[in-house]
Amino acid sequence: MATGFTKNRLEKILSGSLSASENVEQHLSAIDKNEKNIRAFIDIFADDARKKAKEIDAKIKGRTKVGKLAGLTIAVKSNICISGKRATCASKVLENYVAPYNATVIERILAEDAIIIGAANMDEFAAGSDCTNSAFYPTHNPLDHERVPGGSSGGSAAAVSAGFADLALGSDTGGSIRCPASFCGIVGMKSTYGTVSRYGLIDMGMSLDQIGPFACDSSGANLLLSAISGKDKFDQSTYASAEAGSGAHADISKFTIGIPKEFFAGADPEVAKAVKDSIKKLEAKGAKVKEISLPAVKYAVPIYYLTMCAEFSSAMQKYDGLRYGFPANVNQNLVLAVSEAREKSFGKEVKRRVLLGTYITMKEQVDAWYTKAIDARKALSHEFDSAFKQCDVLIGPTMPTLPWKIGEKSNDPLQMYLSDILTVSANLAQIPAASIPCGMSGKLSIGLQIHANKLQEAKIFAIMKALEE
Amino acid sequence: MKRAAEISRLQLSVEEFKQFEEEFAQLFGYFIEVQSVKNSLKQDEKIRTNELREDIPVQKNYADKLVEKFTKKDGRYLVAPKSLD
Repeated sequence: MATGFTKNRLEKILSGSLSASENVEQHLSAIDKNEKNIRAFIDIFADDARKKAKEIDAKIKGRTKVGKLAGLTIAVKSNICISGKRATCASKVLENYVAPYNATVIERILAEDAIIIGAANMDEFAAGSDCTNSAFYPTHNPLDHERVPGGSSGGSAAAVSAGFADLALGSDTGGSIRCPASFCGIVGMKSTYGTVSRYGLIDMGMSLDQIGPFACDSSGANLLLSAISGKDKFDQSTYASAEAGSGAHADISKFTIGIPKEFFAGADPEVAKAVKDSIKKLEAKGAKVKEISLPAVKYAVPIYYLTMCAEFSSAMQKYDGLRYGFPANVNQNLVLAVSEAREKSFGKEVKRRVLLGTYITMKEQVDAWYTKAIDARKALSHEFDSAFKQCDVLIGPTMPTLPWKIGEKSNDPLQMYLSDILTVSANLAQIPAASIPCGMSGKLSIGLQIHANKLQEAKIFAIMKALEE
Repeated sequence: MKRAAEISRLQLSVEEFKQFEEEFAQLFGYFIEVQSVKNSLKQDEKIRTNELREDIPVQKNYADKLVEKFTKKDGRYLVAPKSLD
């Protein structure tokens, strides 16, 4: 994707050479033509998008001040609440659940005159890495329709990659933005935990979740992140006065780039080569490169899945068939009614993770598993802290492999979980990380991942800008 | 597994029990590695925690919309099965 793509589009809209209405119609036309092959969306808000576009066009014509996202179309992952619209989480449980309020990120993008074009497909309750666990249908990779787009924010990534939307919002608990960004050939970012409000995000793992942007280029991701980030009184984990995403002006010739050898262990040779070639480009621009070691990365997948499943099983407790969801049979006793409703409405991966999380937090098991995972998480975070004392950023592949064929890993949960090996550390350490395309293998894209220390998103954007030039 | 399913409020079929038991044996065989991670951290490690806000009530007017979602209701009350015999 060309650098400056989003900025160019925005300039055209603001100058009047492309109206917001024309922009919406172009995207709706692309959706009409190709959505049947991609299945990026659960709901498409064509009428609302057209109405909002007319309002923005009137503002621009009347020279009224418009927001920084004026006229840009955004796809929103279906676990982010939009008032009056279904927030299904791609699950039968919430198939008919209409959100009663806007998530904070939605309030913020609407205040900046963005146009929400649809609710994007995802793995059910974000439990998955390839967008095949949706209760409705799988999403297909726009670059190769037989392959997965990545997950769990696969619909959001596919929407941007396929030209259905300028930008998209996803959520990232263990790589669910970066993985689909890598597989669909676009930019995706998970910022520091606490920089973006989670109010209105239907939670998966509350110490791990972050909402983040997808875009064709780093400037688009930067723009969207700057719109959604900042302190929110409804989310007490948000940073006071921090606004992630500002500035990509850091001078990379002063950077030390750390290359953890563990990031390349097990990576496909083609993937590793594309990433290393990109690192050479950064070296040519003056950055210093240093090989380091992060031994705890080897344990990142078990640490992540034990931590996340414990939090996930807690998050899923509220789906009891009484307040919402698949209705419980009130003619049975309470326990049976709730158990039956949950059994009928949860998909297999959701059940697997709920069971796992419940098991490891049982009184007899908690010390052997969950407590150990919490301690191990602290050790992993400490290793990253130490690495950032000697390096500005850490670079490696986003995913160890190219996207697999749809269904290839559906019956092998361990293989599916292992594919997250390179992405989960950023969530565990609560640090920012982004994926940017760095090469192709045939028609498939290869993603390069950049980690930085907490609240140092500017360094990540500087690296991405340098790679795009 | 049976106890975990009871606590999770999941009424699994016999086939599901068998499948999950096999999968969990494989998964825990891998997850056990976490027990060998040594942690020599002091107590001031930096994992982000909540910063509590002042308790200022905010008027939100979507109680009616939430009540509409109840799968079975009686006026503004949620109808739940009996929990006591």
